Amino acid sequence: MGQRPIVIEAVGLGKAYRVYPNAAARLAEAATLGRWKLHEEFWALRGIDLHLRAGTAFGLVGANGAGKSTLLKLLAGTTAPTTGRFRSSGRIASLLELGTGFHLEFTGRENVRMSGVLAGWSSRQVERNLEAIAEFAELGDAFDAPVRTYSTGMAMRLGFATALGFDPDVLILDEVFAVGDMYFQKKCVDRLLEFRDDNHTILFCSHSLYDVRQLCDEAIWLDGGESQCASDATTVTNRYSSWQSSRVDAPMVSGPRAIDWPSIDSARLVTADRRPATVVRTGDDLQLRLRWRNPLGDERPVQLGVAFVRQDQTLCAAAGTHLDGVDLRGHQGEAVLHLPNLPLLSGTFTVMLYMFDEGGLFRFVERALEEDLVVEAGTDEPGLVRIEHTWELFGGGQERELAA
Amino acid sequence: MAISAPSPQQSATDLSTADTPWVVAGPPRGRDLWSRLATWPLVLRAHRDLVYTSVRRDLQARFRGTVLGFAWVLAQPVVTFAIYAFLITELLGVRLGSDGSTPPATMAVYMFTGTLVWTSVADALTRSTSCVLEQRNLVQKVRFPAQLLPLQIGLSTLVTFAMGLVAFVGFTLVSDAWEVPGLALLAWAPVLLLLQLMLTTGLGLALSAAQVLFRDTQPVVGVLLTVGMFATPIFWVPSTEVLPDIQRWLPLVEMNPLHHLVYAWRSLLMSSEPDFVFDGSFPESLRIVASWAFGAFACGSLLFFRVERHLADEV
Repeated sequence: MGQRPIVIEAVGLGKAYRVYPNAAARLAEAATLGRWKLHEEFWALRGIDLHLRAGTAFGLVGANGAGKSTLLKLLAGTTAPTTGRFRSSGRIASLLELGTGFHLEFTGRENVRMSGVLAGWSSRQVERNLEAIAEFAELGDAFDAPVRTYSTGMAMRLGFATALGFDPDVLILDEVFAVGDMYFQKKCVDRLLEFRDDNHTILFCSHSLYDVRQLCDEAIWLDGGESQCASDATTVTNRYSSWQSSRVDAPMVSGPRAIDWPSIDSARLVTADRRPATVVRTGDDLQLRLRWRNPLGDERPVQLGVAFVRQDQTLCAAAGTHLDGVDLRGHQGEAVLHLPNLPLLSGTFTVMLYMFDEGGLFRFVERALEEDLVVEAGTDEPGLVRIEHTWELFGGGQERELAA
Repeated sequence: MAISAPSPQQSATDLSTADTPWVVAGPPRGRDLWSRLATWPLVLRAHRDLVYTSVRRDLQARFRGTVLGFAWVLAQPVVTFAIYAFLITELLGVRLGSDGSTPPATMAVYMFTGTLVWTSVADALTRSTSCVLEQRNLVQKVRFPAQLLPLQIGLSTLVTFAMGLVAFVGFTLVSDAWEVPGLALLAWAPVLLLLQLMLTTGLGLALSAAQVLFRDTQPVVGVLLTVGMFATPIFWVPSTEVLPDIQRWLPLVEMNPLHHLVYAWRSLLMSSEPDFVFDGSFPESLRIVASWAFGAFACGSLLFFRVERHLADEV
């Protein structure tokens, strides 16, 4: 396959917002035609270079306030750059806020019509797409009922269907990846992948590094409005996540100096025979080995916590030293969490590591293990965990106990 | 910012940024502003379905869920006229001219026609002042020509105004209190409607942009409209025969474009009025209204295009 065409390119893109101390200052600046400079500039974005190619998904990661939304707005064309330039071809649709653009008194159909003509379509073209959108959103008769009667899920489904329904060339997803119940989420994901494979482009902004890794080909990590790393999605998310864990170790509140801050220096998940455990089977025996440090020692006791979180943010299981009445003594040490006979059934789990204060409330450290835990079930049992169980049967001349 | 919306006709296969113009930083150049003014008709043509849909929606939104629905548009002028007829003609017995040569309803019709025009203009200006701010969701999230927002308001109020005209003509048809307006109305109404639309849209463009940047705009507009309602001959006659002391103020009244707009409408709607009500001339007023309309539309558009790039950041 030849080089895919570029659909969005940006060179040295930057955005500064003007911050005025008060309304009078703004009026004075306008009245003097800008000769009095009374505003301060806040640089939300600086020197961003980007190339988005058709048929790819591009991820955008970074902490809150890193400039992600500003970049999305710039590329969507709703706000103007302060420096640099960019150009895009084709239609860009935003899924920035699902369903919020809808007028509550109007029916789903009328709202979709409005979105269509806003996107630059003619009424005739809109009518042609209406039924497909209604069908995808699965609203049934509710499509002709006012949106105010919709549940949140219904409005989001309609929003998702609308954004994709008018055949955009580039789709901007801000944190919204899949909506509705599990069934509809699956449908959204399938539709998005199909969309991407159909030579369309996705610009995806998310805090979920897992989703970015899974969906995106390339990514950029923004911090303080500047690009920290722009490369393939795996490299970027890895760099970002290691930066993130170094950052949450640093003090965010005034008080203890950084040097006093407790930390988890290393953590790895291994099998009973000390081999790295990234892909395991239900029923395996695992160990989580952590090296921790607490510079203030017993002056300020700390607690360790571990949690297994499924992709959909379901907390599946957790353990904590404060919950088990175990004390961490001294300034540093190694802790081994034994997990015999892993009950988790198949799925991908993020292993979260915590370091709490004595009461288990304040989190000194909150980070994810770099590698997610992938469990492959050894059985056909559905569900989240495998429960210890036996069957006992009576009657039919088969009184006996069956081991599961 | 990009001038034209992306064209839906472009197919996914020939997507490439190679032929698309760069969106660059910095304020728009004077040349760009003028070319955007010149491309107004193209924008209108490309987005005619958007304009139609949103005007329809705006009108629907006002009467959604009511029993009478769109008929409420007629209720307002009908009730206004009934009140004037009862209060002015019956109760107060106000007559235009002392010799009794005018029909009894003259003053009521005079006030009604004035109110009809004034309300429409004032309504358009009030609503368009806040229109960009109110649509902040759209302005921030969707790339579309925001210049259409004040236009939609202008069009929507024009529709209700036209319904008022129809109500008035309907009244003259069934009642013998007032003559049916002459055929000149049919000929000139479209012209006047267009000029009125350009005037309100032009002012609306400037006001809506100003309101985003300076929130004081709205109250200022409110005060000016209140003053304007009495400074414009809506309820009084700018003639020394009716108001002997008005002479020294007449030059000031003559400068008011809305006076000429009201005057032009009245010339068409009140064909059997005494001369002193209309001591100006229709062509002269039409000319003044037209120059204001074109001037306001051009200046308002240029101002709007000049600051448009800041609007999404400030709403």
